[in-house]
Amino acid sequence: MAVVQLEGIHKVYGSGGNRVHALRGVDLKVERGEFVAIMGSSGSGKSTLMNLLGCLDRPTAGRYLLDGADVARMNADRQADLRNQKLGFVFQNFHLLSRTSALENVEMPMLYHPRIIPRKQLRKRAERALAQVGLAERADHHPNQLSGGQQQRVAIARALVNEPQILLADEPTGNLDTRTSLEIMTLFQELNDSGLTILIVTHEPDICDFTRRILTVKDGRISADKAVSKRMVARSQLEHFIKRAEAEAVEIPEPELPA
Amino acid sequence: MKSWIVLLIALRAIRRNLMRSLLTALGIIIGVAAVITMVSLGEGARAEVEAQVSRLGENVILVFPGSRSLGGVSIGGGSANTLTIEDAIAIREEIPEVIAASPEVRSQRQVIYGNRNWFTRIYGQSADYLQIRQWPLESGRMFDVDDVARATQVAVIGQTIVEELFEGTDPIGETIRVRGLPLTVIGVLDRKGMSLMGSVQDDIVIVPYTTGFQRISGRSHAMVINVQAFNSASMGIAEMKIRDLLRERHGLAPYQEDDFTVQTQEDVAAAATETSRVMTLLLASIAGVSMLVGGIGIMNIMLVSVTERTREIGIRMAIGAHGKHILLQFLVEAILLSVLGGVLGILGGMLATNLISEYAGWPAVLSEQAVILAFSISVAVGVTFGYFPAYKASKLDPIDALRHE
Ligand SMILES: Nc1ncnc2c1ncn2[C@@H]1O[C@H](COP(=O)(O)OP(=O)(O)OP(=O)(O)O)[C@@H](O)[C@H]1O
Ligand SMILES: [Mg+2]
Repeated sequence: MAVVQLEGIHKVYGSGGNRVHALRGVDLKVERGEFVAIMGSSGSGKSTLMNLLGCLDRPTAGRYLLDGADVARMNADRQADLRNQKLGFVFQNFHLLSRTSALENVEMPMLYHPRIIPRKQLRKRAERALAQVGLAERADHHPNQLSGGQQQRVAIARALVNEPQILLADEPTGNLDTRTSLEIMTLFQELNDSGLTILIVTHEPDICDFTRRILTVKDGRISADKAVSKRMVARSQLEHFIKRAEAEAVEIPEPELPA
Repeated sequence: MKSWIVLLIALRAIRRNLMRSLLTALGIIIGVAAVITMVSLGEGARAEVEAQVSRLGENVILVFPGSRSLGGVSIGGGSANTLTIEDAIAIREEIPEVIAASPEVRSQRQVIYGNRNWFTRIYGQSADYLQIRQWPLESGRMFDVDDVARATQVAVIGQTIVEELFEGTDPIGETIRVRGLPLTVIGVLDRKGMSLMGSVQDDIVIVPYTTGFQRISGRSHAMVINVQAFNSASMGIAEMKIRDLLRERHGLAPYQEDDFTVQTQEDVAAAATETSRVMTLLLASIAGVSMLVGGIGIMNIMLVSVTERTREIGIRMAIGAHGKHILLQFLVEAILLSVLGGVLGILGGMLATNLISEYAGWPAVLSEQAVILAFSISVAVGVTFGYFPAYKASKLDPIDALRHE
């Protein structure tokens, strides 16, 4: 059974003169363990689709079955529980709590978990999640002391800390340099290999090559859906990149200082 | 969600906005401090008045000459010459409920002892005056009925006189002079302190009224008659009978007004406590207003806070917070803030009370009830004014909240 199933999804924003028909009949099935890239031009409806998949927003029409259960039938608290335990969401603009350390940001989803996690465990798991995204030594930094890429990685750690079954990431590498992008994709591929279902939105064709399936959204509809024929391995690219970077670093001549 | 998590979240939120949190609490801090200071001062004033009223004596009825029905209560000497010594004796003899009556005459005179002198008040009183005032002697004796009958030249003196004329040496048996009249000191009064009118009661020389009227003041009429009733239950009857008796003795026709005024200790006390009650009420209402302002301040800042933190609420909901978690967070935050304000306000109020009573010399009694009341009110203010913003926050839609700028 598909873990995610969309049937005839429509989303209309606003009313009257400024109505925006963002999604115009989306049908989609995602099986457990898939790694899906969603592409499309700006304003095509990718974020709208992700928000619906993340149970953050409700469709105007259509049915969304998550693990076979109709999301529309659930009350707000049930949906909140889904967001807390089953779904991990990385926002296009991170949405971290300001004036709050990276660690506390990552701890937050555990605070709302129905199973009570002891204080120490809370910290340990948050630290582990931060280490996963390579930010262990930035745990005490506040978002405004972190670069865009680092903030994005805190957001990813937060999405992963409750060990969700589905990870939804809206442009998770949008703000990252090549090396960090490769690191994140390495992490995602490893998580995917261990069974996590992942859907990401991206503009970069390079990133798509690390996934298994590419969806193209155009004017609120899925216009193309194709499997990735030659899946790239992020880890080997990362190693290659590091090697090349080191080599280049050696070649750079010392700048001559004027006398 | 366990309660420690709710607390943790609220505490983190307060820490995140420490400055604003303190400013929010400031309204409550000032309100609580004001309530406590005001009530303590009012309470102190009331206790002081009560003490002074009890110093007046026990079951005391005062009869003043002249009609003073206009203008309500009056304390102080009358100038009309309508009360005689015989009136006092008649009250004492003819009214069963009266156990003592002392016709009083006062005069301001210079008192000389050796080469020292002191300007003081000389009171002519009867032998049972000290019993009426419940005023014990420190040493020596009070003059008796015999002394009064014979108009002996004896005096009982207050502590101020001992200090000013005798510099602490034993005055018993010594002779003081008033206008050349020698008076033998036979008794020294206990210290009494301030009177209701703020004068020092210890600055006093008491002589038999016979001596006082004839030899010292030269007056023939009483300025006041101090009367003591048998017990508090008989005060009302005694008051009535005194009125009837005096009207009869003064030959007043039914259409004529009283030419004297009867006041009980309660009347005097009521007048005095009324004044301090009005003051306490005034102070308390000022404090109450500042409490209300504090509460509105909390609500205002919590509302601003909810609006300003809409995105935070959205984030929390997006990662799994239920509406009730958000409600609890903001409610606990508001309560923590007002409790914090309450505690700081209590400390501030105590400090202010101490400072004022120490430097301004006002009597102040720290009222436990006021502390408890102020604290409870501050918590109630937190809940009341925190609930609406918290409820508003909990009803937000996650995606709308996230999109909030
Ligand atoms: N809250 C909203 N109210 C009204 N219109 C909206 C809202 N959110 C999105 N839209 C509109 O819906 C359409 C799809 O927006 P969406 O954010 O899904 O695009 P996107 O594919 O994610 O674009 P980008 O690549 O720039 O992130 C756009 O035309 C946008 O203007
Ligand atoms: Mg988008």
